[in-house]
Amino acid sequence: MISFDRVTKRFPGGFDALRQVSFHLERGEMAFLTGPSGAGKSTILKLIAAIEQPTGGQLRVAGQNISRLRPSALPYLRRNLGLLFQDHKLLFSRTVLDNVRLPLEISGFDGREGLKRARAALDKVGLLAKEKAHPITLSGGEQQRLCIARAIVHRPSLMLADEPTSHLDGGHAGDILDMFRAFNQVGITLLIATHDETLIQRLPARVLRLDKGVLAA
Amino acid sequence: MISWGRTHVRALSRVIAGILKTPWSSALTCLVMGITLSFPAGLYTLLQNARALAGTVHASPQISLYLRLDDGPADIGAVDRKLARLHGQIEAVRFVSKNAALKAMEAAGGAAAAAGSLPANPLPDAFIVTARSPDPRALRALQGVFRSWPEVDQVQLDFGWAKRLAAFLRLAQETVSLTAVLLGAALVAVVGNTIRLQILTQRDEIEVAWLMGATRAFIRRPFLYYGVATGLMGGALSALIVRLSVALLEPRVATLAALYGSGFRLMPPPPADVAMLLLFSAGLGCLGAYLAVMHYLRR
Ligand SMILES: Nc1ncnc2c1ncn2[C@@H]1O[C@H](COP(=O)(O)OP(=O)(O)OP(=O)(O)O)[C@@H](O)[C@H]1O
Ligand SMILES: [Mg+2]
Repeated sequence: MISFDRVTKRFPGGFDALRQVSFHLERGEMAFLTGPSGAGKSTILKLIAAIEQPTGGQLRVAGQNISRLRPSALPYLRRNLGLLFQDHKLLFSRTVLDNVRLPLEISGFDGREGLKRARAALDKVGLLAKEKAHPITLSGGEQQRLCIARAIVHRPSLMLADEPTSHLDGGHAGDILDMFRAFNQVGITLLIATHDETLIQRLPARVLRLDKGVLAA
Repeated sequence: MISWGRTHVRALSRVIAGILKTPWSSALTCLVMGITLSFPAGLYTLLQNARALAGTVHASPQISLYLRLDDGPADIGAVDRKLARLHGQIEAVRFVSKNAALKAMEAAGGAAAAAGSLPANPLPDAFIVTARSPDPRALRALQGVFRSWPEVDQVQLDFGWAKRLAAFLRLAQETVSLTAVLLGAALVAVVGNTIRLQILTQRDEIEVAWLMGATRAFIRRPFLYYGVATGLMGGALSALIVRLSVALLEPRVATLAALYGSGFRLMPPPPADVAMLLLFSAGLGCLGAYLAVMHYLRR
């Protein structure tokens, strides 16, 4: 599903955020990506989602070479991804329900069936009762769960989660991990970036350790 | 197909929401478009009317005799008698006194009204002569005869006038086209700027949609609709302005025309021209929106 082959990312200014990173993630696999702050975790996720471009090496996602991707093919790659951003990126001008409907609108999956799917996704994260609320009125944990509903509503094959439990207490973090495990059981490939070691111990998943842009063997 | 239609309906509903969210900026843009477009649209309407008038001129060969400003009633009588003697070549004669001409001008209002405040009437008495023969040579001969009369200051032959009018109309047509192009370019910039502000207020939405796999077309669509909607409303407003102006001027023009024995009426733009105007303004709005969105997405 994901294949890094000596991938390097040098930001303008000459800073090397990633150095010769190589790893594979099979379809249906679940893995943690961990390391101290500034190690390059978010950068790896951004490269996979083609938000940033690698400056060296080869990166393949779902069989496509990311650095040779035509700009017109980019949207269709992203529609197969479920993204959880470190900074949420919820739209405060839309209601909870309309936030979840956005990915469906984008893939042209609108109308009654789309509404049903959006409600089902909200139900899965326990937010159906708040569908008419605005995200600003939700608690940190509820916002996090709203992001998860938005990331899975269009049934992606690959989910990329950047610090999904950063502001949550142990109990709520556990709930979210349970959700991830459930997603993985229905075949979704997951890559979860976190610096929280206790989180990693709670799931029997592969761990990729990153430090200063270098992947530990 | 159904989903495609729904996507457009949702895009459109977001546009309406956007307009309602910024009613003043949207209304101002429509107003600017409407007023600006009413210049070329109004000029074009006048031009079409002038064309219609020029068409009637060719049909009846007329010669206008303008008397000298210091001519008195005796001179008028003398010219009248001389014209009567030429009845073999003349179909009809109509006298337009300087007072009647001035009254007509005052009735027409505008800059001409200033003439009323002048110490003396600047207009001459005039005879409008309709020749029997439309043959240019016969007309030119008549013109020569009239010119030789001492009471006559100027003789205007409609054939020459028609030719000059045609040349003038061509020039006016080019002026109208040029004005439309220049103002059109300005309006593209105005709409583009309004859309740019709309884009800025929806920056987050665009970014998130882009990250979730929205195509450029998806992002562009609501803004293009906004541009077209603004253009249509601006165009409709300018059509309304032109229509009202024609209604306002029509009776005065009719009075003036009647004085010269013409049944000429100022006509409002026909539906086909209004449709063209709407198409043009919608196109301007669409282009402005397209440029603004593409500029933003390229960054
Ligand atoms: N756009 C950018 N331009 C320049 N440097 C950047 C850019 N984005 C990230 N970096 C740098 O790359 C390094 C890795 O950043 P990244 O966000 O991937 O870290 P991280 O492992 O996700 O850290 P955290 O746990 O704090 O989120 C950091 O030193 C950061 O300053
Ligand atoms: Mg990070």
